Amino acid sequence: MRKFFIMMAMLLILVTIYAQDQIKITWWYEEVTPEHLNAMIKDLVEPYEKTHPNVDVEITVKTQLLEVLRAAIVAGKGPDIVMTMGPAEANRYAKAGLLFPLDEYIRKSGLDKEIPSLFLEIGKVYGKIYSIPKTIESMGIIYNKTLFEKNGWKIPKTREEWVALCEAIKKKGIIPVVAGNANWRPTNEHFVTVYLNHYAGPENVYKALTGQMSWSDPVFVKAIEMFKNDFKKYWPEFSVYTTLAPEDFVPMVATRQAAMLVIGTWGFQWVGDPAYWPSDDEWGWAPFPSLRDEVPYPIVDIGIGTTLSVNKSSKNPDVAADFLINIFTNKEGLGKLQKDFPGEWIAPVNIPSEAIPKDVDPVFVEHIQTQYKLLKEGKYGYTTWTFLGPETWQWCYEGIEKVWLDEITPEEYMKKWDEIFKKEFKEGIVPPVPPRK
Amino acid sequence: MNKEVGDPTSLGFKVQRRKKVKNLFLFVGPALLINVLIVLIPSISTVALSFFKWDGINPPIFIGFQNFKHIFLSMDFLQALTHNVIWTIVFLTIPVAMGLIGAELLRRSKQKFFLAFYFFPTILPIVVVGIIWSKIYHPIHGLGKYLGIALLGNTSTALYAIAFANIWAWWGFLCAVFYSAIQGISKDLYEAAKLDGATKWHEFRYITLPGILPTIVFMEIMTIIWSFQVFDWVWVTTQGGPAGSTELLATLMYKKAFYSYRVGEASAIGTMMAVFGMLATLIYYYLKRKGVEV
Repeated sequence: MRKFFIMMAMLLILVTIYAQDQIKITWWYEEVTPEHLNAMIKDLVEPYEKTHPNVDVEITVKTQLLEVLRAAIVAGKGPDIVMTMGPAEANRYAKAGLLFPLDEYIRKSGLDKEIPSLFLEIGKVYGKIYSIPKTIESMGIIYNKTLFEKNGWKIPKTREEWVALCEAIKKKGIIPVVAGNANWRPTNEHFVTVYLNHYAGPENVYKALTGQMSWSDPVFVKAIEMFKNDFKKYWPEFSVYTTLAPEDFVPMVATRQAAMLVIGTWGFQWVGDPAYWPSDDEWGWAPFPSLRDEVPYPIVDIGIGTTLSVNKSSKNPDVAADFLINIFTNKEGLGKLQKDFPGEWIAPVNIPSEAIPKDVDPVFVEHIQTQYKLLKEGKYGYTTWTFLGPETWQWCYEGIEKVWLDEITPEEYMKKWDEIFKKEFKEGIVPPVPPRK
Repeated sequence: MNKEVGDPTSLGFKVQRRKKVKNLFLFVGPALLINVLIVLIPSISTVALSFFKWDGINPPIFIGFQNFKHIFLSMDFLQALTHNVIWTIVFLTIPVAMGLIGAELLRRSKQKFFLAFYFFPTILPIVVVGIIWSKIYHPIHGLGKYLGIALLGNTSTALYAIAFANIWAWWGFLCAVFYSAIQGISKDLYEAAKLDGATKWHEFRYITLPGILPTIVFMEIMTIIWSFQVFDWVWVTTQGGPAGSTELLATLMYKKAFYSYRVGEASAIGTMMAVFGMLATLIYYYLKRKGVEV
């Protein structure tokens, strides 16, 4: 008996020593399917743990991540790797001294030469970088390619072509653009983003975001007026739109009840899934058309879906930063994620084509290559969820419903937008917008 | 001077009393501690924060009554308040009437199985029931297809559609409470009434209702308090949409705190919700003082 207790005590001591040598890095992730969670563990975590056997990385899925994360970080707790919904949120934490600066790690790894400066600048607070975008996304059209080919429909590049296409689709008894905001009320802003950039133009949006132009300028009001009319004619009826979720509207395109999705990069996680695309029809992607002659085609409206940072309260900030940088330098892992978790891991780094599995959706590859090319050429617009302060963002997607229902006019909508934006701009809450090339 | 046992001024009595109080705290203490930590302290903090401008991250700044002024001048708050009042009126009437009728029928039929059946929806998680009703109302896959209307997508029906689902889950609880109260009415009264030729309506009107009036009033007061706290039903189904037609004070408060980073304003809304609930409680005590049987 005495020997047994001595053995147990020794075992306990060994376990304690081992545990102390083991470093645990925690990472809270937003709601994700078990398949996608396993994909990240397989493609990002396990390769790192293999080369760093004393580190355990634990990804925990949190519903209501935004709320839970804020309460934890402000209380001096929370995960080592902080994932936020975008630079607006990340910069707030950085300004409050709650995040760890990453400049040194970015420089040492050479990522400062690889990540486009736009994406590093937007995560800068008081001259230091506190967040790196996890995924670059842009708006565009995902359409039923088989349906288009069958009817001889072409991808529109101009306003006239867009209207002609939508009318032709409608004549066939098919919904031109299907969407819904049942699962995510801010979905409304995706379309506001598109119409502002493709009618008013990225230059004007940039001027408004940097306070050089008023949001109540007629060019923006006309963009919203155009969107209001298009929404009423070519989108589902509002009362139906507010009850549709991706599992409702994506299959509608696959089964030819609707023709197109005006959607961001994240749409690719659904079209490749047979549960969402239950037909043999092919899908295609194209940039959204220009809605005014002065606005060039093509452009992509660039957004940052989520950012990654290191918690200032982390017990192992160096190790956490090292793992975070490794996410972006692990090109093989990132390449595999283009297949295992498409649409959510388009990191702002160069992923060599040999790292991308051969059976990745070629349409998706075309999309990210086009996105990257247009970004490099300076042919990009700005998404509302990345570049607006929180209250302007909220008005953007809530107020547009009142426009659709004729409760307020586009003028009133943009006037209030301008008022809220000016207030947040003065308070320094609006994320910094780097100069256009 | 020897004092008699039982004399409140006697030492023995005081020692007994101290022992009783100590035992009382031993029993009540843990629950009291939990209440202080998770109810009292957060409540006081909320009221205090309603006088500050706070984004939830940086240090709060004292601004006096500015938050209250801002919310009372805001259309969003007034719209949400209106919706809460409508909700309260609906829940003060329909489920209470259903609960009373159900309890009376149970009394007459003596089939207690139905009580468990009516009560069952009450124990289901609201999130689950809310999602199920969203699917039931769905305009493509649910009843909405046959009714020709998207109840949760229509600004004039959404709030009532959610209330209907809530009533479905709630009325059984009221039925159980009222039935329980009816058990306290002497059966002799019903027998005597029958012998006097009273109809079933007379029994209900002149025996059941007066007999359980204190319970009815109490549940009405609680309904007012709970109606101003409703959050989960709306959040799971519509999140305040479409176009703010189902926005309630609790959902507005949540959005102010977590989406707008205006925790001070959110606290002001929370404080006002508590005030409305307290008004209901004051009505209750006023009626009691006036001698109304509550």
